[in-house]
Amino acid sequence: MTLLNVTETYQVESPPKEPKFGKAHALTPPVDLTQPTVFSDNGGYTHDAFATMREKAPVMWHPEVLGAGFWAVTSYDLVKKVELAPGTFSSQKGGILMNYGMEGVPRHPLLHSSSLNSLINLDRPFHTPLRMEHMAYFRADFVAELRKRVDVEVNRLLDAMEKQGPVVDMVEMFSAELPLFTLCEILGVPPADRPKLVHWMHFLETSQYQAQQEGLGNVTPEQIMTFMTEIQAMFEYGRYLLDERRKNPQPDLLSAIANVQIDGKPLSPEFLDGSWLLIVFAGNDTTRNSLSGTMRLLTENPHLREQLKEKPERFPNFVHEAIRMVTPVTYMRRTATQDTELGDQKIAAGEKVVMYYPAANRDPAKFADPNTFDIDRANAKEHLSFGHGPHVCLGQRVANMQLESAYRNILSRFPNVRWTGEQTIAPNNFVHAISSLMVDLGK
Amino acid sequence: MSDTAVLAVPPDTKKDPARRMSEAAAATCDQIVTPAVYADQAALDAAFKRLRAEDPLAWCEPEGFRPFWAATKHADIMDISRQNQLFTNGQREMLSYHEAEKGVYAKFGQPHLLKTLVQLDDPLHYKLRHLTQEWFMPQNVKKREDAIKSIAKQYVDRMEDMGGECDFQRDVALYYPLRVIMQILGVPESDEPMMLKLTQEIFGAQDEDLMRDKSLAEERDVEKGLASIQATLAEFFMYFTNITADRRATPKDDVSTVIANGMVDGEPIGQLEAMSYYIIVAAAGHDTTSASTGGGVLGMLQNPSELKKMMADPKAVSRTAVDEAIRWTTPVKHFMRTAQDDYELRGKKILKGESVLLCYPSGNRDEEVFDDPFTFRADRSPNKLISFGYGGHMCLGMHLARLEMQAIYEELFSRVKSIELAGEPSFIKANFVGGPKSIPVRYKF
Repeated sequence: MTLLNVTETYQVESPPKEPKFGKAHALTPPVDLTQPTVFSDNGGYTHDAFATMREKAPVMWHPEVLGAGFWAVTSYDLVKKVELAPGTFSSQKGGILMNYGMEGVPRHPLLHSSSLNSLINLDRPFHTPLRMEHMAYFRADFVAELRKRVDVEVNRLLDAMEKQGPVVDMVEMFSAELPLFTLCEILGVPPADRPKLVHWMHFLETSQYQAQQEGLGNVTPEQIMTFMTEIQAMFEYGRYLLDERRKNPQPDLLSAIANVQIDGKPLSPEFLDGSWLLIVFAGNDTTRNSLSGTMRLLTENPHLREQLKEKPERFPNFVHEAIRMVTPVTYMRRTATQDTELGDQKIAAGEKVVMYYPAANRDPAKFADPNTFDIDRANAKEHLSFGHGPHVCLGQRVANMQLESAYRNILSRFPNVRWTGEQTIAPNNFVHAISSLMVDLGK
Repeated sequence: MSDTAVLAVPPDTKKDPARRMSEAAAATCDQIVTPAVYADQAALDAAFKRLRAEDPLAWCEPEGFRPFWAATKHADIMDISRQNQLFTNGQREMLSYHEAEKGVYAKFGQPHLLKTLVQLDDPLHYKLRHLTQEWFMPQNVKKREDAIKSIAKQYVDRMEDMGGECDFQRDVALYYPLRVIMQILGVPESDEPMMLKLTQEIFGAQDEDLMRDKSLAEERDVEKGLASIQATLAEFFMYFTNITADRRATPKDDVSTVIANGMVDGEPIGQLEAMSYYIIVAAAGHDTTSASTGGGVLGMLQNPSELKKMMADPKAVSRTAVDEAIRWTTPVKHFMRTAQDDYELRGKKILKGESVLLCYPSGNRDEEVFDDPFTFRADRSPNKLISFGYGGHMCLGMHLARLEMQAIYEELFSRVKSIELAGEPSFIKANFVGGPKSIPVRYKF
């Protein structure tokens, strides 16, 4: 058995169909979760809709226009159950995104291949050894060491904000910068090259916007060419770095990926591209949005400041509770490998199952009074924002550490900091994307 | 009107009959309300400097105006601006002659002709502001960067075409922000000259060169003044009524579409609110940025060392230079707030119902906040400029303004080989929004 590219084996999207075994619950989607604007049009997650789904149909059939349709899972227990049954609910069979597009739909070949050929889309047996190679860079001792550098960077960013303040865009000046710094430290990207990464991140986001404007006839051939060139440059830079690390291994994550042997063979070029894309995005978007989202929570719950001041040892639980409430990643998808049952719903082999983390994280059966920020919540740590089981977020310690470092420093330097109420939520139904958040530093 | 009671006359704004002006206030209060003084930077600086030093929260009873407290310290302006429930905009958001205020009250039973964001308080203010706030967020305006840069390029091209001399304010700075804001509103280029005239008449209504009826400058005739403003507004109304109908029928990718289709409390936004919204976007997005764009260039021309810094590396210097230009020019000279409760500040008691003048040009020269405040420094950092205000009413367009100015400074100073003043600059006589009126320049590309 060899590790094949996921693109060669994955289950290609099919046109709309009805679920094979019918629907146990009659509920139709209260909101259309396939729309990129489903959350941005509502100022954030549609928690009311999620609550309805959780109560009336914790496994609800959600039709698609350009896809087969999927089961949306919204209760804490059932999401956890799916996570813990990777043999039945596969990541590899169909990938982790809701929909990769039907045959014949135009797509960027390199982006398409890279979003499928990576660790996150693998099952056993290859998932385990590849993941093991990453582990060293996310262990507690490594993270503790990293924290010292993160603390310095946090203060550097806060200095710049203070100079520019009192009112600044936290995303631009902080939330987008810190995870990128941390990631570059873990990866071993030389400081001189870091602005390139910033550029590509911004570029990809802007392109998403432009793609949406396509309907309005706003995308010119020049813009498409620029897009192609930039994407190519982003991947080429990753290839260059990985190639360097093959020649001269360093004690960093890129070297580990570049030199890993799976089944006696190095990773395919497609897998190297995919690893690059996964790391760059998984490490950036998520923490960025948690950092910004936590500022909103802090503003909406002013008593938290006093609570943290009274007992600074509450910081770790504050971070867990914040990540529970923010839930930066909206969903992960699995594909059933066999006929099975989830709750009282029968699911057929090949059907898609999408786990909604923001819904699971506000399940009152698990978290009492789930819409309240409770800094002392005993089980806050059991949130599913990082997923659960074999695919649980590799970087969760790094994420928690960054949040804690950020807010310890922010609150000690700007005790009256607050969100002004102004923000931009980017249209995105996969991550909770806060693309601007105005904060008033109070000085 | 839900936000203001119907009144026949403006309310009294002096609550303590025994209160007297300080010596400093008596000597300066007429100056800080006089439009012509705002065209004389040295006189203005001197008046505010004295107030900051001797009476930073000064009780003022200038001739022709209802009295007010003048807040001239940066910290106090921030302190008042951030307390939007205690210090509201609704009753008196800007200086107006007492006679003119009486005229408006007699006619409308309230202080305003319009319902713009700067005249409203929460909750309506927040709801209306919220309609477009996403449009003006940094990441969102950045998406327009290419379009804005290409407009900047057009205007610098135009400067190059004019040979070696032009009036930077009248030929470039005046039109460039207009083009940008009109593109964002979706107004076709052919309608811009009319828009320019209208916005200038609203904001520059005190400067004789910009007035609809030039005889008003001397007469201070209230009836005629009101009629003049109303005529201007009527033109605006007609124009934007058509825009609203058009954008409701065929939505486009512009701010007018957001306004025309805006909902507040589940209801479509009212006609007056929509009109007021277009006006505030058009007017606030234009004159202010024009003033700062020219003001910054003038600051550099008058300080060759700063010009040199800018020309050496426009990309690196433009960000700080833009903020310095906005501090230096302070295009919005004031806004006002009215206390909803008694409030102590600097050992004085502002009584409920009394109003406060937020003196932004003074806050921007506050010696306690700025090193060397009377010097233009292209690379000033930190720069705690108060030009955009602070708190709930902080300028919605600040990110757009910065982006626009950065674009034209980078374009201009990366292309021009030399540039210098070719004559005496002059300034707009206005106590509300103003800046350079004319900047004659000589240059080589």
